[in-house]
Amino acid sequence: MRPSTPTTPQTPEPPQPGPQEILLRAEHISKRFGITQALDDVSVSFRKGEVHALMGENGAGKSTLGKVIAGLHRADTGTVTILDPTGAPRVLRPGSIDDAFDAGVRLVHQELAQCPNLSVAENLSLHDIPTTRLGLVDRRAMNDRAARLVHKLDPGIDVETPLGRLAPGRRQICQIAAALDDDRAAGKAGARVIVLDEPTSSLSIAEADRLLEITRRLAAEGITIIYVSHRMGEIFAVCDRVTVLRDGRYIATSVVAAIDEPTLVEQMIGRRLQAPGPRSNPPASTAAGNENESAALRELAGGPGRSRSAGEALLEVRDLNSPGRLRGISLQVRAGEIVGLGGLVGSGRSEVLDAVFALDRRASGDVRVAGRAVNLASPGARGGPISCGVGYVPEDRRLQGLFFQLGCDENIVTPVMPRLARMLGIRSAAHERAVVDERLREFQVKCSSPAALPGSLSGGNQQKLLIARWMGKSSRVLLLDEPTRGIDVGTKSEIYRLVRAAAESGAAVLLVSSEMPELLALSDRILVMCEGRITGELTGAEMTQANILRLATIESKAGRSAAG
Amino acid sequence: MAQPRPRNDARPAASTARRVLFAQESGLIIVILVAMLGLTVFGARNPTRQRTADGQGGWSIVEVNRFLNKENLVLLVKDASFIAVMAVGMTAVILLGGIDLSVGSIYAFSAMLGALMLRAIQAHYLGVPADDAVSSAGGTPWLVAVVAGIGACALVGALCGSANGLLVVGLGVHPFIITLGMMAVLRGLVFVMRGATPVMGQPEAFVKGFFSADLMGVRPVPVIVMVLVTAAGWFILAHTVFGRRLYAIGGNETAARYAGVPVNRVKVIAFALCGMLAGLSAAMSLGYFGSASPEAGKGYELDVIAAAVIGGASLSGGRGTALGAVLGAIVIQLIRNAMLILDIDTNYTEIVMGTAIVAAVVLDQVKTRLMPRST
Repeated sequence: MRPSTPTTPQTPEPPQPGPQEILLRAEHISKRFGITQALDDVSVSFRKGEVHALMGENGAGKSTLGKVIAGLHRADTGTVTILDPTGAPRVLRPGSIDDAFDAGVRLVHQELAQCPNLSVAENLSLHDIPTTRLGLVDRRAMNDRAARLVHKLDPGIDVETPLGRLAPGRRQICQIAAALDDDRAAGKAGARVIVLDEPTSSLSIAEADRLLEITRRLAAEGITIIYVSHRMGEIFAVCDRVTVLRDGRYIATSVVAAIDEPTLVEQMIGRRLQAPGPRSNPPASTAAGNENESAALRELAGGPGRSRSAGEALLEVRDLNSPGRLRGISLQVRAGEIVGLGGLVGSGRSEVLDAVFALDRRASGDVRVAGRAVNLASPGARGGPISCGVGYVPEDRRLQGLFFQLGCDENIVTPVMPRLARMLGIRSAAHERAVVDERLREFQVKCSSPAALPGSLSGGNQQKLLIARWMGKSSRVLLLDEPTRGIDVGTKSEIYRLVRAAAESGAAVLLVSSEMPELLALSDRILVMCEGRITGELTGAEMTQANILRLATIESKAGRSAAG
Repeated sequence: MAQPRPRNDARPAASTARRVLFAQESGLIIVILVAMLGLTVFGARNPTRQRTADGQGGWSIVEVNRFLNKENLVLLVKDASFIAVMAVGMTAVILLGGIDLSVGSIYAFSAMLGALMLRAIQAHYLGVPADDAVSSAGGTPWLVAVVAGIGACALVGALCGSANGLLVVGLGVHPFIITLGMMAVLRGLVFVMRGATPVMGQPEAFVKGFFSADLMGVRPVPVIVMVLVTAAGWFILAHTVFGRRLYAIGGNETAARYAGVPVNRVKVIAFALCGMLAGLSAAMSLGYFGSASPEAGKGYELDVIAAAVIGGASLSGGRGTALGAVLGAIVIQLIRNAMLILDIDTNYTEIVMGTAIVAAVVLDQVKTRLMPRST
């Protein structure tokens, strides 16, 4: 492939030999979301006609960079410059999709608005539907135009079918076709840079292969593809160069042909969390630094983690399957043990918790708590997870957790209400109040009154409220999904302590976390998942970010051939 | 760190006062009182014929306030009570984020089946064949008539409501569609069964002996039933596990599933309850008027939904009370009554009603925006 050398961190591209001219430069881009520095002074250059991967862990900032380039996000500082077809540099207006579009920069994104009820052709023409002289929709012109765009990529797509009836892969292809659209108001530039954000995450293998082929074809036509992904296999299959980001910072840009997987993994890990508590920043960007941090975090969470003696197996899961989500999940969590579930977003970690909590109707398998089989009909069923003492703090407290029109008190007692009630389901104010007061105190939820609405609480207190619902004495098995997402550092350490305390008093904890240091610090063991399977177990000294990431990206070959 | 208890006790008085003030119910009560005051003033001094007190059937002209008199008020609340009882059930369904369009038809269907059954019982006690010629005098003992009448209507209503609930949950179709279908099917069944003929021959004990009983010159039993249903509705919604689960599901169905709330079961029970109260309302009207007509209850579903919404129920779920629904029904009836009292062309009634519904909801939204987020 093309001759070039990996560049060193924090310096922009040195001049490259060869015919590849730089088409687009992102320089000194910084972007902050609340307390998270998503991008920190990142500079990357993209050449004409190359497939350039942006890689990194969850939260590394790769998607954000793609969206800044396409004008979806407005960077706090920094500029994006594209070379006009005439060769003159043009600085894109920050945060303007229209300006980026006008300059030929297009974004293809999973969550982009599409109307599944409209036909492919209508979707492609939504922005300016062609009309006849009478002002009616000119179906033929619309279909012709759609066919011209779509059939270049996939002649098999009927542009008159509703978009929602197409397979996910073809829907994705239609989006790319939309990005290629060049005659939106005549005279505007065609697509010159296309940002593909996790384009294959919901596709089957065959579909993904087709997409990769199209990607290559477009690059051969001189279009620059910015390929945001964390899938190793695809990077090596389709990309020319790869830029790694970590914690919002630029790490390195390398020619794919000249780099191997372990090196790439090494570049990706070493992510540091804004250390909770007063601590000097240890040298960054090494796996060792991260281990230090985990140790510090572990201390913060209440002393050494592995000192507790693990009891008998409290939670046993055997051969849990769910079509399209989980394959043969088996695991055990002993009393007093915290088991981490590692893996990338979409690897099926939350799905395991859902299935154990009887929220996945299509799941089949055997779940036992303290040796007793759990009825998986529904969470509140007789002999179901709740009556067996399983508590579940879900990932999204707004969507899955709290009732915002009910008071904190009722939010806490919802699952135990039937048990506290007298006959005929008549609520006992005294019993409920006792539980509410105890939990509010124990979990230090700061609210103006027990009847205060959760909306009046800070994010951290909302999370503590949700945790207070499930972490009572009656919960022997705790399923925690991202228990510290979006909350401040102080509350984080409080929650770490609470989780540790629960384990110490004999609960079995199954923890899902995308924050590596948190996962490493809290867990006694880590099971790593990839594409709905458990790909490995890490204990003791094996528990490193490098190992987790290796097992989490193992998919491409083994997992895929099994799925295909 | 934090001391939740002391802070909790710090300002309960203020927040309770504010909660009462901002509650939909208090607003409605104010509206009702103001309207009543206005009607009393503008409806005053109308010459009315009254029977003289000598008991000899003579007439005299007396100045009576056309609004503020016993008969008018009891009639007004009586008219409201049929709607109000159903509106309590509707509130349970609307709390879930659902809707029940079939209450009017359930009302007619259960009144019809209840009437046929009561007539059969009456025929049995009188020893005559159960046809349209059955006399209502004498016959069935009081207890049998009342228990059988209320029981049959409520049971039929509950069964129809359960069917709604099971179909909604089982087929996963929006309640609007299921109950729209149920509305048409039941109305059709009533006409298939009876043509356009009403069912007469109701036992005296059920009519004059109970729902239409005369107490101190008025017939207050439907009003008393309404009060009892309101109290029961308030208690169930506020103080039972089932009631709070309605609020939880309506507020956030996903979170309710994650909190172990048996969402489907609660939904079916709510629809059954709504149907049952439509059946109870049917029993009330059957007892009050002494006959069941196939046309009965046409268009009631809209009045019932309007009552619940005026009473503060949010169609997106999670908000609403039983008392609010009943007050909403009274407001609707008050508007109808005002048209009569003020001698306004009754054709204007619907216009005023429609405006009132929209105004109530807009006012409620304004108030929600004014209300501080934490109470």
